[in-house]
Amino acid sequence: MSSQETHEIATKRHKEAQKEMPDSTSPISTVLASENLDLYYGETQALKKISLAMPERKVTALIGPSGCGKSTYLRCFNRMNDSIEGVRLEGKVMVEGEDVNGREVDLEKLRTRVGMVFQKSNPFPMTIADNITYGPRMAGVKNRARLQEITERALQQADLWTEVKDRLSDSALGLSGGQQQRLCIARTLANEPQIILLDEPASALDPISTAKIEETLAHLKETYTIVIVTHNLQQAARIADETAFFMLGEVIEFGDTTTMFTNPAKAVTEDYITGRFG
Amino acid sequence: MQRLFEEELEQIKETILTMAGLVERALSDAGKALVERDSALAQQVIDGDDAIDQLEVEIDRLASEFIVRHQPAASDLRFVVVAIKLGPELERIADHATNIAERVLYLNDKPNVKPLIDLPRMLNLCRAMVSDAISAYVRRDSAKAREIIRRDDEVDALYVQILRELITFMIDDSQTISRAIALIFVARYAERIGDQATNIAEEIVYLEEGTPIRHQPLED
Repeated sequence: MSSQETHEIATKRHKEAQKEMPDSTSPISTVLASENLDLYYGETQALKKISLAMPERKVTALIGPSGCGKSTYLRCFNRMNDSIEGVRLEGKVMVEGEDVNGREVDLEKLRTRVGMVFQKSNPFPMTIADNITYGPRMAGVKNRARLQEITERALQQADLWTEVKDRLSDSALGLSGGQQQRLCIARTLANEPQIILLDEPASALDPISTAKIEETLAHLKETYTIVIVTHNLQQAARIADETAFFMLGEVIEFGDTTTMFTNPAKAVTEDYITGRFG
Repeated sequence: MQRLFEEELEQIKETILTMAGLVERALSDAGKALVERDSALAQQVIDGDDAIDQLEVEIDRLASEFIVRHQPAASDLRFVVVAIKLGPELERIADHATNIAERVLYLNDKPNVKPLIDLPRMLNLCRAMVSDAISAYVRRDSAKAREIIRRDDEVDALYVQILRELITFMIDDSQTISRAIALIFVARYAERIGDQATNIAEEIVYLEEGTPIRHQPLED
């Protein structure tokens, strides 16, 4: 191996290590962005010229009336819309400066980097531990100690460890709804993503489970960049640093959450968040 | 739900206006009792204070219940926050009116230190500030509110002038000291009322424009 190659590998490893342990003093940079993004379901245009830049290690909430395009937009970042027939996309969707629709993009790697949690928790019908290690095992991790380590870390990050540590071999289907959802978050974290997308993760949960999920997200944003679609405006106000208000496929307003909920710039945002329509 | 929401907002507003009406009345009666040496009217101001205090409690109750029920945002949130702050401002103005009335009772059975000119003027200015602040609130007029804030300088200048004048009376004749001090207190209460009217006006600017302007120099 030439010294040039050695250097390249070392640089790459160094960069990866930096990604794993982000420096908390580094300036905020954009991790997710879109430029003039148009998306069509057949003839229907679902997203119109969306340009947003979402900051690193912050929670960004996407709010807006049903059918406004927020989930569609979220799904662009890990190309979940690919499987829907008739979807056509123009403009750019960027993850860390890279166009996710580029030809050289490895979809599996993209979805590892950009994890997703859905509205309805979907644990696999297997043990709690196997749920967590499923992704790493698929990616080739075989070492048992390593897998145990991943399981504990992921469950701890998702604030579920103390509740399940004595029954890791029990079926995940025996967990409560809120626990199942946190298990799904842990399962996403086990793949060591950099970005977590959540599509109404707490809308089917009781207030206590919702509070736990929100608390988990508050911890996770120290390490991960989080984007959450929510219909619960108070939830957006509680957990998001930035909020984007979508309507009819357009972003009406995007900015600091507190400002948006106390003094929004646009009258239509005001009407929506004060419940006068939507 | 929306109808209930609007009704409850309206109820908070009406309670504030009822309270403001009583406060304006107390202020105007206290001034009149001073000028006309009307002890019965002064006593009326003192007796009326309890009703005003009760309304402050009522505004707090309505506003808390509204927050619990509706979790307001944006201008609705600012409306409720401002309502919670206007209550104590109005209550304090009423307290000052009561304090003035108490000094009037003290002064009324004693001879005048001097003919009262600046003090009634000052009280009138303050009353007008309070009354205009409330009408700016009703009309959602932040330009008017900003104008009221500027008027406080005039009140402050009158206060200094009254103080200086009464000091000369006290130096000339020590017999006037206790009565002059009572008048200085009246002037001091009026000066505070001017400040409270200014606070109300600042809250109205916040309510309408969304940015707090308290503790900031007013731009020209």
